[in-house]
Amino acid sequence: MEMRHFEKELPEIGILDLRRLNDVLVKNHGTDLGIYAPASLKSKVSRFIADNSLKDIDSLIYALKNNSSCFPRLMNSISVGCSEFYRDPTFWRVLREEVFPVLNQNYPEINFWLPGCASGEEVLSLAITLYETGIYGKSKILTSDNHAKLPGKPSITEYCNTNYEVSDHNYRLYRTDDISNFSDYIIREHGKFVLKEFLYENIYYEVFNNQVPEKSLRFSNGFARTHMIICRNYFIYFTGQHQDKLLHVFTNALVSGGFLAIGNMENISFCEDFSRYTAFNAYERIYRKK
Amino acid sequence: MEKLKSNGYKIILIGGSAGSFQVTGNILSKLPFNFSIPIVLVLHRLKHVRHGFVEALLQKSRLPVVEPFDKENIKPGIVYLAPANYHLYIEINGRFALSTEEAVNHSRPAIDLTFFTGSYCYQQKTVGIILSGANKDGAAGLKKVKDRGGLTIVQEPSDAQIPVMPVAAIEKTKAVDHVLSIEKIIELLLLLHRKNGGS
Repeated sequence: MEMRHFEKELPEIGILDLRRLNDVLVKNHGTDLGIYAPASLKSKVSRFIADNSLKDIDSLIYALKNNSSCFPRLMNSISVGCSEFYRDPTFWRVLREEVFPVLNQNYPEINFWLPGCASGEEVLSLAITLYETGIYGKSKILTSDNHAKLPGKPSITEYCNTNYEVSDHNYRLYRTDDISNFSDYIIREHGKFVLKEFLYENIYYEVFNNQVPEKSLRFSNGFARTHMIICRNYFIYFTGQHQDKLLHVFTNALVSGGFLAIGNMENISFCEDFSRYTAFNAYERIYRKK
Repeated sequence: MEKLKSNGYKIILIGGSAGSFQVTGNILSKLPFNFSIPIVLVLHRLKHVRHGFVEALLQKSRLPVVEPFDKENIKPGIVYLAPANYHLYIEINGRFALSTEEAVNHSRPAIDLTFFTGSYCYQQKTVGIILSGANKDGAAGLKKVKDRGGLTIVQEPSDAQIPVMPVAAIEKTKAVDHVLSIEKIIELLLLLHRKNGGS
């Protein structure tokens, strides 16, 4: 996790600025920022402007029109939420002790889908937890985000050492015994670290266009039947209307009895499809499709 | 007291860190159960301790204290506490929005982000208060409240257990409207409540 200061003042962006930016994105890139919750969107666009030494929305619009690499970088910074390994340690304990036994007992193969994989911490935490439970071999993890990368195997990601400290601390709270350590799963190199390659073995990548969720997922890797969707702190970045659409797609992807996990302060109770779930562990926001 | 003549403050944002918990409890214990303006608390807290904070404040407060969920509507008569390990934004439709973006000023929740978005939504109807704390989070946020014509209040540094945060807020904002002891802050909040039609 990178620490930020507001020493460099961020440019002020108003709703009208955002609307002007969106007009350009809709017209030239077919991307509508209207699906995102405005406050965090504004904050991310504002940081993008500051980080790229631009001045304001107008200079960003100019850069978008004149530099083809600007658009993917902008979308990348909008879609990436910051994460850490084993965020909310108690969630991972419940997963290991309460959810995995049910999945393991009921299915010969277990398909997971993590729709907003961001920088991969959540995906790899899942791989470690599955490995420790002895069921990684029968599991497949589909990760996706809305970047225009090629489907297939994700590349190995480097993480910075500040992330290690947070994650190591989280792991200790998750594991509580001393049988294994987070450091067992990493290789350090030049002030950074990567996760060991075997953890990537059953992870697959697929583009998930969150603009039109109902049309975009092809389930090409045999993921038509999904047993668990983990999308913690994913819904918060979208408007209520779009959350409704996303939940509908997730619900249809899940088998009956499949699990859905969202962030511990997220709320999807007003979504139409919420009635298709029962609470499995309300405190950790884990639901089960009826 | 010029600004107190204008009635109708719509939101009270309170930021604090080390040394702010006790004074926050003290403030809440003096406010009536029907306090007429929503209060949003952004207090730096341990990220793994999800429970206990609300319960501790509830022991002091006559008002309900809750951690808002994503997209929850902001209502008067309620004290909202920013949940652990999330940033708390206020959208212009008067709802909360949560975010797990990177820490700001080493903090998540960051006081600055709530003050930026809260004052964008409520403009001059915003009250911003900075209490005791050991870092500079909240200084830029309070300045923004000031720039937008809101009412700015800082705990008197000599009255604060850790004065770093109040001093930073005073320096950054320049002309803070009121630098007060906790007792005086409570008096002022009660005055705002009455001016807002509360009894």
